Amino acid sequence: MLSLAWATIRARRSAFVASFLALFGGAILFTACGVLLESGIFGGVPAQRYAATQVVVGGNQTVTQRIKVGPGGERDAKQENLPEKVTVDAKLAGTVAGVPGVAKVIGEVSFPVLVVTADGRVLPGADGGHSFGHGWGSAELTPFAVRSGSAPAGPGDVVLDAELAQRAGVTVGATVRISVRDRPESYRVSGIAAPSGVDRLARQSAVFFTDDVARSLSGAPGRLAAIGVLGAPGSADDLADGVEKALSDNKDVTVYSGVERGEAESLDAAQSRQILTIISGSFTGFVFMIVIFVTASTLALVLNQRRREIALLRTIAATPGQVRRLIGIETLLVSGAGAVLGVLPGLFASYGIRDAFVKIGVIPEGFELSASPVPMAAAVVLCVGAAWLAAWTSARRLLKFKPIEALGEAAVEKAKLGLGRAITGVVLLLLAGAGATATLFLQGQLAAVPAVMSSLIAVIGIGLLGPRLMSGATRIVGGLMLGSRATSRYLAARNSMANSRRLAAAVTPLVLTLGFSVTQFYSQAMLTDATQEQARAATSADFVLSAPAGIPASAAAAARTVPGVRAATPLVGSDVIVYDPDASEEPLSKVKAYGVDAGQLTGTLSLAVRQGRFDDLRGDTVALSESEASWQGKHVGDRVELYLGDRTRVSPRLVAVYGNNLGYGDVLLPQDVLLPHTTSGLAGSVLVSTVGTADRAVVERGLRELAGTYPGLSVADRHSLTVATDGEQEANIWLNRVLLGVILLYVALSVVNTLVTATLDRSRELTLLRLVGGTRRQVLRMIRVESWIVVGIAVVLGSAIPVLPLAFLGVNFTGSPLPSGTPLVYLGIVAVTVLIGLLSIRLPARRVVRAGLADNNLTRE
Amino acid sequence: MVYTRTEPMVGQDHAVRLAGVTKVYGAGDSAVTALRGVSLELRRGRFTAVMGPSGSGKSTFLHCAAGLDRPTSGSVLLGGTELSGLKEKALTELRRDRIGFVFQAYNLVPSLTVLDNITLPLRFAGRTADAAWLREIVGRVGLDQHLKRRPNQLSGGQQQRVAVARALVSRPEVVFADEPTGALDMRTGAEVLTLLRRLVDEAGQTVVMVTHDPVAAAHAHSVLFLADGRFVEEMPSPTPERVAARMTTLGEW
Repeated sequence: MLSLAWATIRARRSAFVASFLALFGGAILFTACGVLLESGIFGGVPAQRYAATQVVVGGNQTVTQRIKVGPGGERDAKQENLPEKVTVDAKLAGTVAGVPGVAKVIGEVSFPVLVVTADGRVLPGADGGHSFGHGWGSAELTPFAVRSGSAPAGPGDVVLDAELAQRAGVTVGATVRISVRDRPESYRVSGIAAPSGVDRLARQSAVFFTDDVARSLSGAPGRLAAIGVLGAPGSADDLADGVEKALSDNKDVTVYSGVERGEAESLDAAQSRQILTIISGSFTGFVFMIVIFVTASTLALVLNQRRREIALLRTIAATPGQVRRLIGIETLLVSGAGAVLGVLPGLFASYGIRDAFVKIGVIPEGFELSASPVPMAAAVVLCVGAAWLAAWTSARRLLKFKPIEALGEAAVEKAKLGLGRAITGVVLLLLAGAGATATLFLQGQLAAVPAVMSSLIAVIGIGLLGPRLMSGATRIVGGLMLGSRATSRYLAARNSMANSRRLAAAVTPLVLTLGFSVTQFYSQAMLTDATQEQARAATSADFVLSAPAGIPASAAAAARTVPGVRAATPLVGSDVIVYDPDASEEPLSKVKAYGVDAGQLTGTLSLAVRQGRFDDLRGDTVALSESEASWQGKHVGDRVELYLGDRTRVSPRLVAVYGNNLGYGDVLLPQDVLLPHTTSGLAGSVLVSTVGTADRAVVERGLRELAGTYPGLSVADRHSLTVATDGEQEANIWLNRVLLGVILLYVALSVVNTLVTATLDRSRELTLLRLVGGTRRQVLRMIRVESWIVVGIAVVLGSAIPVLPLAFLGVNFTGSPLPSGTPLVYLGIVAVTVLIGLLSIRLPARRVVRAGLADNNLTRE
Repeated sequence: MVYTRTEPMVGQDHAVRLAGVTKVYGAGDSAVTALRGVSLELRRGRFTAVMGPSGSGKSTFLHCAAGLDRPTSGSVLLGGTELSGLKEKALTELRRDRIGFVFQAYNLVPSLTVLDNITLPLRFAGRTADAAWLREIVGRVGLDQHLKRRPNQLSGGQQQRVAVARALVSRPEVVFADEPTGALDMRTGAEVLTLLRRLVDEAGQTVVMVTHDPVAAAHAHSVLFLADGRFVEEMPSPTPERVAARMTTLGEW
């Protein structure tokens, strides 16, 4: 059987090329997705600042909650990740020092600082990252060594890393201005330091103060950013276990070792890992679906071409079981080869995708992928499995005919669909409709979730109903064209109507990708646009002050001293986690939160108050959006359970409920409550309103002069306000684009693959048309019309998928069913679809028609 | 029309005339000569069979005579038209209007009905069928009841009769048939051959048939024998026995 299978493959090489390519491409995609998924779990950014440590104890950046399951049972609810740096109790250093094998324990304080140049510019950190202030006592964690000058000795001394000093244009003995959460102070550069062999750390710059100064500047005395553990060489694993054991009953800390130490020094690393996990996880699902569809349609096509040959085998000897086994072995050989060969390019692809992610800033440079054999083996298994499943179903269909029937059965296909498949398809489409409708009733950014989900369900439904939809669509289009006097159009209509199943196989992947990618892209674009639009609509401030890395809250007080200013409030952005003790399933939910100054809202912020008063938003209080208040079942006067961004648990009293606004999120807190619990300690912007009689230009000039005190401060009107869209959301948009691009590429290749195979398969038919008197031009014109029918139907069906979810999403967000965002993306995707479809039908047809008539072996069987 | 159609002159009794036709496939060492200077006439209003052993050049002869392939040298005259000088488009139009084909594989377009298949050449030519003529040929091939069917709903013999009707629809000067009974059982094959013979005897149609079956060849008025790319001889009023006997002397078939 094996040798027979091998002989068949060799003899019909061209037919198997199509299957091979489909699986080769599938394996590339699976491997890439798998490696990214694995990297989301095990990858990371190697430690820079903590390079010299074996183990780092940092704050626990997650919150979770025990929930009851059934009678007596308990489990952890889904954990939420914290957006701000969580600090560690300094007392734990003593506990860690007692662990066997620990040579030295160093408490590290770390806080963002801004270095200001002599001409008032604010310098970013190395590679566009941040600059962090530390105590010199923790220089050893990297280790940093003094290159020139000396270590900081007095309260006014600092040491800069060599690269930062060079960019700031300072040398030992010079004065440098540095701001920590407030206006800049002057320091004397006592020395320049560097890690051994290089000038700097990657993506961050370091500024060292004396330990005492660093502790007081950190803003949280008695707290540490991390505890670095130096051990005897080679004992990292045991050491990590030991430290872990010593701290096992402390839920506020996490013990990092190996590549994870990078996450203790930068939140970005941890966040990008989570993003990678979530996104590649969901994409793996879509890829799986697409690969199944592509493989199934390709294999069905290839097997259908061999119908006669298989019938012959059955006529002369083979039992259905033997035929099935033969097909199974062939499939195994071809798909196995394709899948195995696809693994290596898949690995390269994952590195390519990583580089693309780095370029768009989703993951930090230096993020190391974790590529174990697991995703590669999984890719091969999944591909072979998909191929085998596809071959098995096609073979089953072929074997349903009696051999003689199969020999006689002509090339016309019937668009017969199993009843179960049809019902499933219809049910899925109905579900998709219901999902899209749910979009109308959900509040806030949650509404985008059912929109995308419903398009995904619709895509599967359409995939299942493919042949039926195609036959319906071709009957309509064909019916319109049958009356045409032009022979080519008449023939094209007849062919398309007769071969709708073949068309469906070719077109379904195009429809799926078009529908899914358009929904993905535009629902995100709409969410982003609606967020900014609603934020601006609720902002009544005359001026918005901002600065590149954030603006000190004290700038609001300074702005109030400018004549003509009526009110000025800092706008502090963060995320908080709302805890609902009554919820049985998902007690924790992360929402966007803003800190404002309750006394300064007149003329700056005009959120609609539904209950209570914003004036009361002082001290231990909170305001919630209408949807959040009703979600949590809270009324004015109730206590709301929150975790602030740095894991601080609070239960403020609800004093106001305001109308939903995507821009301002679901939680408002007094800014002086929220600010100390953010990593940067800076506001995103300051909203300023003026008294009615003030001269705008004069006020603006006054505000601009603040730049002398607050370096980098700029003044703009409210139309330029951009609220922070959720950082993850922003990253997701780009991640989605990159991954969708990769999938589109695969689908494009597979569609080319199917269409070329299907068209070449018609060479007999095309030659026949020539023999009975069609000129080359007539036959090519017929093909041209046919290709337009195929492509037109694909575009219409694909475009129909996003219509409902996007329209409802638009009504929800902006009141208009028209999606926002550039139409170019849609047009681009459609253009690619059209181009692929047209070319991969016409080019092979042209080749067939160009060939000589006698060469086509038509006259003989 | 690009080609000039010359009406048959009085006394011109050939439908197709080949003069010194040579066909070489490939070039250099791998060149294969399929026809070596074949000169012969296929008479008008006659049913002519062409026979020969495998490799004798039967198929190449048919391709060249019907304008499907171009001879390497020599001339092919269809009626008064020289084919060797025609461009591809003119050749297509000539085949469409003046030549009919019947193949071993029925070669019907599966997506078209029987009627549409029959009238397909006219469609390409942009003409409509003459109703009386269409009725006549459909009646002759016995397909009146099946015009709305698809090819896959017909038996092999019926499909081949559709192909014959299609070949006749444009009132061609010559119908070329390439092993028209090769895929049929003996009885259905005989029906198709009788049909072809009656077309010649009753309607004056010219039919040229390539075959390797002496029984099929015996339905013709005469048999032309080819061997090794050369025309050997013509046998008038053939019988299966005489044809078979002659073939054995020509070699392996």
